[in-house]
Amino acid sequence: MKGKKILALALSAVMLMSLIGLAMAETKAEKILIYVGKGEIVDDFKALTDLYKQETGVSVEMVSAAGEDGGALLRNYLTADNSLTIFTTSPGANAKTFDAFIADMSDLPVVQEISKGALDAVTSEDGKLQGIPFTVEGYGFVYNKDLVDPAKITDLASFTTYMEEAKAKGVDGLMLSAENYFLIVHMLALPFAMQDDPEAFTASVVNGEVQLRDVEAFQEWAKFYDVIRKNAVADPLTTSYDQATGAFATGKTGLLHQGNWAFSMFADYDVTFEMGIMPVPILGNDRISASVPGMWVVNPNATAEEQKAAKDFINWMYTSEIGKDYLYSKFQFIPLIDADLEKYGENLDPLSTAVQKFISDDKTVPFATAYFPSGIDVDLVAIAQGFFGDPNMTTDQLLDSITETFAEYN
Amino acid sequence: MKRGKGWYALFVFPLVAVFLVVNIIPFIIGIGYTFIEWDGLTPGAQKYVGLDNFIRIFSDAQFGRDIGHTLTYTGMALVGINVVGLAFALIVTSRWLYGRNAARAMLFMPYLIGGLILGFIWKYIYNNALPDIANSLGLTGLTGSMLTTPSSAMLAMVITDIWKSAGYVMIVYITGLQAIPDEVMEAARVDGVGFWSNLFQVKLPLLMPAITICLFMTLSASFKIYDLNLALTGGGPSKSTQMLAMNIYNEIFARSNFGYGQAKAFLFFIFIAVFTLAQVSVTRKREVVM
Repeated sequence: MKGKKILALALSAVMLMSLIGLAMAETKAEKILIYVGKGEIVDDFKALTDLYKQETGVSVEMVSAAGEDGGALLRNYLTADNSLTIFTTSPGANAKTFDAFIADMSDLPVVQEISKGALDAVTSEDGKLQGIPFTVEGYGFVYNKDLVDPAKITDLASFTTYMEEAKAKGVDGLMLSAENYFLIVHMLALPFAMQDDPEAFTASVVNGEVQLRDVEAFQEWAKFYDVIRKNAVADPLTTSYDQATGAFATGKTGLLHQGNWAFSMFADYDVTFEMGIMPVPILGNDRISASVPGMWVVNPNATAEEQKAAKDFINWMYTSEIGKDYLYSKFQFIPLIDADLEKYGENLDPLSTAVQKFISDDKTVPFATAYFPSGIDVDLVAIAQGFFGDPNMTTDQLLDSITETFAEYN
Repeated sequence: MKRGKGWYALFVFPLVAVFLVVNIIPFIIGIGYTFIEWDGLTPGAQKYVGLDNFIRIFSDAQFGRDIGHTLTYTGMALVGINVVGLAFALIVTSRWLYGRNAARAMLFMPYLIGGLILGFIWKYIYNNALPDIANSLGLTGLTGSMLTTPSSAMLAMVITDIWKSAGYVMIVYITGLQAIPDEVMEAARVDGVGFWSNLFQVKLPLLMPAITICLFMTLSASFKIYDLNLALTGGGPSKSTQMLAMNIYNEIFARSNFGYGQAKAFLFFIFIAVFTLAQVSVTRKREVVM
């Protein structure tokens, strides 16, 4: 009998304690769900959330789109229910699409420290701070310092000479690869970004007010593209990102049109040369494209506690030592906080260092892709396939097709 | 036997419930979406547009072209898969073949590879392996990739699908062939029937039930193809191999036109239903009763 009483007492104590536990949990969210669309960081990110749980007891559960269409998956999560507390997306057209699911972040303490340029990129037209920017990324011509002297490729004529000399040797001067963004979208973004107001300019192309063939920067861009087509040894349409980066890492080509993200691709190779990033010299352009590729966004439809927990987590990532170590060493993000840049700057890979140099010299243009209608990459790559597949297609026809495609999104 | 109906209902209920919840109800909701304009995301942004979405389809040139691509592809795949599958079935059921079961297993194996992975494997074969082989053999005319010209890219899709699906229909044809009574075959042999007349006048008529099933499966699968399309050609070059399913997917998920994409999907459904029902009723009529 006595044993039973003790058991009953113990049981009721346990129940009481769990009740108290429940009551306390209501004031503070113990679990938040985060969607990470940046495939290359998910493993390390998982480890980071484990560390966060050890430190604070808040569990951050992650969903990601490994090998799937991230956009469609994110949509499903957002429309199915409101369980997603944080997600990642890119600023510009994408953020506009998700506007109803984006909370203002300006009350986060870390915002004070982040550089103004990066914050501008993630601020909407009506002044909402849409998210905390990941990092900055930049792209242009990635070059092998042993094979290419950037001082010798400064305009169309010198680029043409370089490409023809390479072809005469039977190698690719520049290698493009077949993926939508790498084949055309990133390259095409440059002449858009070179306009005085890229956003308004893109809108006027979509409206049908501007014909791209009438704009000088685009004519010259098309000539660059034509030179690449004429001097291609490997067919860009059948070359994959892996093959192009592999050819560069083994010294088979001197130039890629890529960004600092490509550096991780070279890790598998024993790269013996130094590399850098140089501008694509359209009309003597001396700037590279650099901007914020993505941001952490908090879903305003989550409960107030969850939103609080989400913002705490993001703030922790950018202010704690562990968080910073992951962001700058494991994810290889270029720091957006000046103090961190000084401290972690030397960890950066050569391409990120080069991008950082262009940023500090103020030699950058924004990603005009942020203003492109979402989904247009599918149509643009179809045009590029036509251009590379048909040697008789002229640069004017190329520009007209692009103009028409933009106008279709009106 | 009286309780039979109750048991029947009990066992059928779960399946009916699942079918209702994941197929029928979403389908009906989907019809509702065809009358609105919506980005699929923003709550409360749905706008009723009546039949505008359907009217818009008729001026959509790319959708028209994609119907053409889908029909071309389906036609070639339908014939290819069934002819090759039947040939495989005849080979592996013939008496002289040593290792029949191993052959069956090997021919069926490709079907077990998922469409996306299969697409990526064959993309490598068409883009790299075949041109390299042609190069080393000195066949200069064949060193280009099949995936970079529209007509050969379509052919490449068909070849890959035949490689994948022929083994599957083969299984159905084998069952059909084995169901042909021995005395019929015996009689044909005694009468001295040659291979071709044996095939066309004895085996094929008796195989009609299997043919109905196989045609139905390949017809609807080819119409709805998406994974292989995405992984192998991505619709390229220049959308020349873009099938209807890909067109609809891009309309909804890349361009964020939910209502319009849904209208296309509904039309697509009718399209498939008409074709497959017509096919089933035609081939059913040709089935002979023993």
